[in-house]
Amino acid sequence: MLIFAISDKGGTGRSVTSANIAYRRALPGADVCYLDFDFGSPTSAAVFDVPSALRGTEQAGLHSYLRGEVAEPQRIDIWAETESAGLRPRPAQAGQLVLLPGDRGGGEFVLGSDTVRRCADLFLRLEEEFEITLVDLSAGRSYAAQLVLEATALPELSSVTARWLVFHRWTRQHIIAAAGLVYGDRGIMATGASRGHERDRLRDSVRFVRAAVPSPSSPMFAELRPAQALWLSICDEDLTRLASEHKLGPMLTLGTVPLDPVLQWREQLITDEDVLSSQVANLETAQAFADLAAALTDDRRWQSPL
Amino acid sequence: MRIKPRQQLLEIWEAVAAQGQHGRLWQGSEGAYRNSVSDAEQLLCLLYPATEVPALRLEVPDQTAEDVLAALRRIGDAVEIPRALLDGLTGFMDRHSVDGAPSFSGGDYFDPDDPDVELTPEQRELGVVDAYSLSITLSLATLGFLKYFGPGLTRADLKRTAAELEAATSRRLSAAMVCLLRSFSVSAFRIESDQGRSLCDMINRAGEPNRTVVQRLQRRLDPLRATIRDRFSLGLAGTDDLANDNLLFEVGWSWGIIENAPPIDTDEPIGEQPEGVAQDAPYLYFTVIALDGIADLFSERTLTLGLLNEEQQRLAQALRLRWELTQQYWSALARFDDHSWPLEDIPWRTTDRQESLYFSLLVTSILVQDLVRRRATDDDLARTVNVLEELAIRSKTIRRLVPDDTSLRLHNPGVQLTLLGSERLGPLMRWSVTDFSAQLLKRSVQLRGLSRNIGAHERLLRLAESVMDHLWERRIGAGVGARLWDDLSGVYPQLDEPGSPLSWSFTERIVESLVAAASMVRETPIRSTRLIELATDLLSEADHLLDKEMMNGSGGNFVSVHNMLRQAEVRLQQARRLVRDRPGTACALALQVLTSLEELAAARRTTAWGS
Repeated sequence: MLIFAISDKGGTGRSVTSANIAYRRALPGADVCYLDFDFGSPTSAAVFDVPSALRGTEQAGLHSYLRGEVAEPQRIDIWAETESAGLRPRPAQAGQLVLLPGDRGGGEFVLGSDTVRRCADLFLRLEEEFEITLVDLSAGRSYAAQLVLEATALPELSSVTARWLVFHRWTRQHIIAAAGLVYGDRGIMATGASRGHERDRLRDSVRFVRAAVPSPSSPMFAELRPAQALWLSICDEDLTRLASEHKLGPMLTLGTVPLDPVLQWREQLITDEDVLSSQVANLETAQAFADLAAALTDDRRWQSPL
Repeated sequence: MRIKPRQQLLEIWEAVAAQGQHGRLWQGSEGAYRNSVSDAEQLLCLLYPATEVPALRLEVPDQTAEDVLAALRRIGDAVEIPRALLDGLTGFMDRHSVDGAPSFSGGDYFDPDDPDVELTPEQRELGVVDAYSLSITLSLATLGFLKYFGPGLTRADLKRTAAELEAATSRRLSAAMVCLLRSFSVSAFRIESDQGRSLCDMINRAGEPNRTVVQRLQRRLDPLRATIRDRFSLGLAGTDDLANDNLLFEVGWSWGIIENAPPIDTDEPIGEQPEGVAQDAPYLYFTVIALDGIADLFSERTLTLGLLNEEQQRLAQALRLRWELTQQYWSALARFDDHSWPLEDIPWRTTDRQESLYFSLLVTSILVQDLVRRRATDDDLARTVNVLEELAIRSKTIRRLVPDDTSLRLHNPGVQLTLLGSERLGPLMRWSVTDFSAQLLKRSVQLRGLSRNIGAHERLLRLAESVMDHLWERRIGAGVGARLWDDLSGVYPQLDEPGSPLSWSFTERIVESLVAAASMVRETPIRSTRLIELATDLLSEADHLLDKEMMNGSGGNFVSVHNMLRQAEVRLQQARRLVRDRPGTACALALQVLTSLEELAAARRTTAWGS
């Protein structure tokens, strides 16, 4: 199954959330690979704490592959190469967790039919090997997004399930921007339709993920004065209404990741140890990632409920 | 008990949702007979608040409030709840139609007048005004619900279901209006007949000669008589009798379609219009029930959402005319003698010489509606409040029921209405009404919404709260219907047969009352001129003292003093903004300012003493 992670604005926690989803999915045994399609700044290796590819790999990254310079993009086995002590050794039962990094300083590139062809081939090969192929696209309307929309519209990929996670933060601007990215001009729906995707099917394969959401029940807000708390809850209701009006309400939201101090200060994987042993991260955060990981393949969550 | 509409409605919703466990939610009536009244009441318990109280809406799943979801979790999540409603409503429309035409059967709400005989199946299928009236309310609620729920649908199967439901609902609405028009009665009788004498006795409280009273009554009713003669034709057999000045008359609704009522010419696809059997004479109870339903036809919501089609608007106009006229008629009777209202002579006596507190309450209900329409004086209002208070006491709603209390009969077995005309199809039928206390709550809340007089407002609030205390005690304790109504043993432990069955009609009345209370909360508080004066004076003093303190260049460079003065300035500004709408709050702000200015002044005095 192909999962595309996208966001309109930067700073939505797209990379760190999707990396955590991949990690949570691999833990109980699924084989997962993670593709860094953020061609402008390929930094997801940092989240996995793989020093050799911190700002992209030196050679044979995804750029090189898509440009046709190498036959196979480089693969990094996270369990083996990460420097993070919490991730090593590979936990019992865990499946593969593989990173396909971008090239250092790769930059954007021109879209051509060859590129689309190579992209589709790669997806097909990975589909055979992995249960989940998670593709981290860059922020905004990018070549990368166009590329995968074209690739998935090819007949040979028609039998492969492709789903979209649209990340946004819980603010006015982010909500409006995320709606624009999906429903607006040159958005996913419009671009997809123009590339030959069936409208209804594409709409049913898009779900939103709310990241860094302050939850009123969180202990962080226990000390608020009544007026502050009331103000906050009214703003929250306004946002709920706004989101619903922009068609990204709870019905189309796959999950919500609460605001977590650890993620505020460092983009990293949150392990069970962080939650249970050192307790630097919140249990709710880890749970949200696990729920999202499970929801990826829960077909009921991907049907139009109404 | 304080009336908290949102919390109490949610508590009721939670109990309603729990009925699903007993397999009873929206599955249709239990008994062998279809009962469209009870089924409609059951649906309205959820749908009515959901469509009338914005905070409790259900039709946009993405915006359903958290506490609403918690209360209804037994039905499902934000998406499953409106879908369950869609299914429930579709089921209702299917169950209560015969060959595609809406039917309005009273089913097991009909009782035989003689308990030893059994009603015929044909009789059980008869329509009844309760069903017509509730169908109007239910249809309008459903159409409004679909207005918002429909556009959010993307799935083809659900879209189809919603479109079919909308068509069936609109049919039912037209059919209900037609039936109400055909149940309307103008009954004329001779002055010296039993009815005529009874009417005169009722309104003649000063002991005047009968002839004078009749003359005054005729004069008062003349405009109504003319309107009926000239403008009423739809669904009435004839109004020729009204030309005869020797006849008196009554207007209102009978219990069902009147015998020989002509069918109404309409293009609406409502099927064949059934023959009527009901006696051509108004019943107070059914009149009030009809008036309640008709009022929904021209509510603000119906108009703004555009829920009626052209033909329905025509029917609604005809009903509105009857609605206004009926109110004027009964209001004129109730207040016939300004010195001493017939209504104040409790209990009210009907022209067939039946007496009950319930009839007094019904006439009050009509009067309340009429008071709103006429923007009644404070005096009329105060007198009506007196009547409600006395009814509450006499019915033992806000007093303790003692063993062998005669007022118990009002609540159990309730007021019995014989449905004259039903004997044409079998044994004579009866209709029992037990919801006195729930009606009392509804009318107190309604009247409170009308009054802009603080004294009357307060009294009605206290009354409604006491009635609520009584009603909350009457909830069913456990088992089927737990936390719903009606179990009298809570207020009358000596009851022979405790553990009454769940009554949707009683429950629905309470839901309606709470919805009325909720709509009142949205209004601004009543303005008190006294408070406005007080607030203005306080502000003037505070302003002056603040100016003085500023002039003194208080506090040098100390931030705390500076902040205090700045805060005082802001508070006074805010208080001036509020002084008209919320003078009490303005007073409080002014007092805060005065207190803090006094702190500074006290400090100043102390320094003077030290030097």
